[in-house]
Amino acid sequence: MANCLNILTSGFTVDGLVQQLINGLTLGSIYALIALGYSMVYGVLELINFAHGDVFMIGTFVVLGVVDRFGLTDQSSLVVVIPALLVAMIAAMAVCAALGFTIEKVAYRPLRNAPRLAPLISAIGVSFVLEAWVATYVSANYFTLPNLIQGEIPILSDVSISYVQILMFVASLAMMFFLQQLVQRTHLGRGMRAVAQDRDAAALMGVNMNRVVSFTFVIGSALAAVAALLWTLNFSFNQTVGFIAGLKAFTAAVIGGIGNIPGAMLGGFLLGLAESLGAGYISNLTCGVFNSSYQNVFAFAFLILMLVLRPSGILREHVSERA
Amino acid sequence: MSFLDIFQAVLHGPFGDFPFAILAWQAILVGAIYLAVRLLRGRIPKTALLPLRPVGRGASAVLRNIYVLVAIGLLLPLAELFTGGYLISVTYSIELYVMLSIGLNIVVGFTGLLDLGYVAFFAVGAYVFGIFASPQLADVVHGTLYFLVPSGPAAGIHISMWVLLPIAGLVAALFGVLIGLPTLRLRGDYLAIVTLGFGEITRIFANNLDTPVNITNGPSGVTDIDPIWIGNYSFGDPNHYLGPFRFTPFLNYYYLVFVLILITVFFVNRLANSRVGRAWGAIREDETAAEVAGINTRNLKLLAYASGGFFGGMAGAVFAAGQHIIAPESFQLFVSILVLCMVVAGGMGSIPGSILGAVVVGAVYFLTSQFQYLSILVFGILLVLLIILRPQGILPSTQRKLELELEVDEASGLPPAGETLPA
Repeated sequence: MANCLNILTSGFTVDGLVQQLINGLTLGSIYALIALGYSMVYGVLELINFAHGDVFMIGTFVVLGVVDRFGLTDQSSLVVVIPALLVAMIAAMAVCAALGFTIEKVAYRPLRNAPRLAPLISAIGVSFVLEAWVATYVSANYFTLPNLIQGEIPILSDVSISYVQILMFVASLAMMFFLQQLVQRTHLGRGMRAVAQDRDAAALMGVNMNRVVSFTFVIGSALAAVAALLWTLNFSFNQTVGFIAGLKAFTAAVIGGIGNIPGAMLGGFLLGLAESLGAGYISNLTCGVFNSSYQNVFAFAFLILMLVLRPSGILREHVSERA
Repeated sequence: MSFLDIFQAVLHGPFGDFPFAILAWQAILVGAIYLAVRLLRGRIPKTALLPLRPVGRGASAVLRNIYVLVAIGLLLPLAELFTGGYLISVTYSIELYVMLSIGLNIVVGFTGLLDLGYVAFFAVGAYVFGIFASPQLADVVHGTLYFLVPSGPAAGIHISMWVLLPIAGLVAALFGVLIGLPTLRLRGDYLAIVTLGFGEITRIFANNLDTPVNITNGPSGVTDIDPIWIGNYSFGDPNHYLGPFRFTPFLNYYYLVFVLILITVFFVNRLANSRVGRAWGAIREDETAAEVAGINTRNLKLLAYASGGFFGGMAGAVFAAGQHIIAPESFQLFVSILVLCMVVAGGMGSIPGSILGAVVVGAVYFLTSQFQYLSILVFGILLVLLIILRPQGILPSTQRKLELELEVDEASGLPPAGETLPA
């Protein structure tokens, strides 16, 4: 037991805690961006769009392709890197938006009135197709982008926050702001809110359901593309990246209150924090019985706890599930 | 050149290996098919397409006939004479999936609880059998219980299958209740994601419980699991002959699981047509109304999890015995998804449907699994096509079918208003 206390005290430093917080927030901001896509689609169609994570994955490969074309390396100057990344982002957004639009049209629209689980199975099928397509015709290897944006700002003696992390955080907040404006202020946004509230009544009021749904998929997929760009700057990826990231993102959406934009954001940050703090400290807190390989357990345990305590998510005002 | 080679060549196209060229070719392909369908639509009389319907009324009646199914199941291994042992290993795997599919059908099809972590039960059953019928716990046994168990080469715990098979099922059922308790209040997709989480947690624990006490032996898994014995007959022994026929381990286990499936179908069928089954149906259709009507929804939902878990656990135990070795990687989320696809593709709430769904989906999956990624591509495309063409499943339960036909208003194409409003 004395040994255990030793571990407990030695493993904990303020610097370490701040570093874990920063890591958690940046990871969470990516989860949040992907979660927005899940959340919006769920709000409008009450469908878990399992293929959304794979749209994100396609985005990471488009970014990889563009960065490859531009021939960027560790030594590339920012004058080249920034335009290249902008091109990559626009390309990824275009490809993902087109993909999301097509998936909805091909795999979900024919099943709009089918039994509730049918579109879910169709979504799983699409997810398999996308993953297997990339593995077959592109590559099944892991990829890492060169270290394009370098430099960091020191905060504490041992802690620093890198420019990439700042970019991730700021970009995701900006995207959320943009989305919130879109949903609250535009004509189509109003249509989305109407469909989410009551599909039939919205149709009766003259809302073009099909257009609203297509639009939702396009926006959600474009956001996933932005998330993909940010992901490639910091992490490695292969064709399965979308599944795991998508799973976490959906968890984030549920934690925050699904169908709710600030909720998805909050859920993403909370999940990122829980995961990074959990993985960082669980070993110390449990005297080494649990270690960081329990990271995903921590994320899911957090989700289960949240749902038991507050089944409708943190920010969800009303629950309108079907029995 | 096999069918899949041709398929691969057609998908690959003539423009070379660059992903974009392949994509362009495939886009042209899809566009051409779409145009062809648009042009042909309405020009072919409907009666001409009748033979192409996946399962017609006649076939449906045959497949609902239990005696026909039993005869097919008993005689299927004869086909092995022509395929040299490959078919039986596939059919044996499919059989395990049939059991899982019937079990999951109780939870998803009867009770309407979307469970994406069904593999947890399979894993629990397999690990219970694996740990208590192998040398896995030899160290622990010799440290603490040395006076109970003799030491020697076969040290460890080796409990008989007659005890262990039901225990594996019961432990999995208990596990089902444990998962069920905190999730009683959750509905629909929240439940899906939580059960998915439980499935993953189970696998991660199996992967990491080699420290501090070595229970599961971590990523390398439990090895040297006893085969199943009945009297002196070892199911794992490849040298059993009946006249000229050799009973290979796969064949032994094939018939064992076949018997288990018959028992499962018998019990599940009795359950489905009992007071409990009707109550499950009521919960599925409208939980609030069911509760108001005096149904104890809490206990019945737990019972659904427990019974689903029981059969999943039994399947897992047989799996462990047949494999001799189990590792956490056998219990990926993919298994849960595959089983769910079987239940939904077969027709939710229908026992013949879950069996046929498992056979069809399992056959497509296993027969193509030698082509690693391409098979998943084919599997995904077929899954989407299947569900778009028959969203109600291949053999929907007759009761559900009636409900579904009433549900959609043909004129507007929308479900009635009550369906989308909050309960």
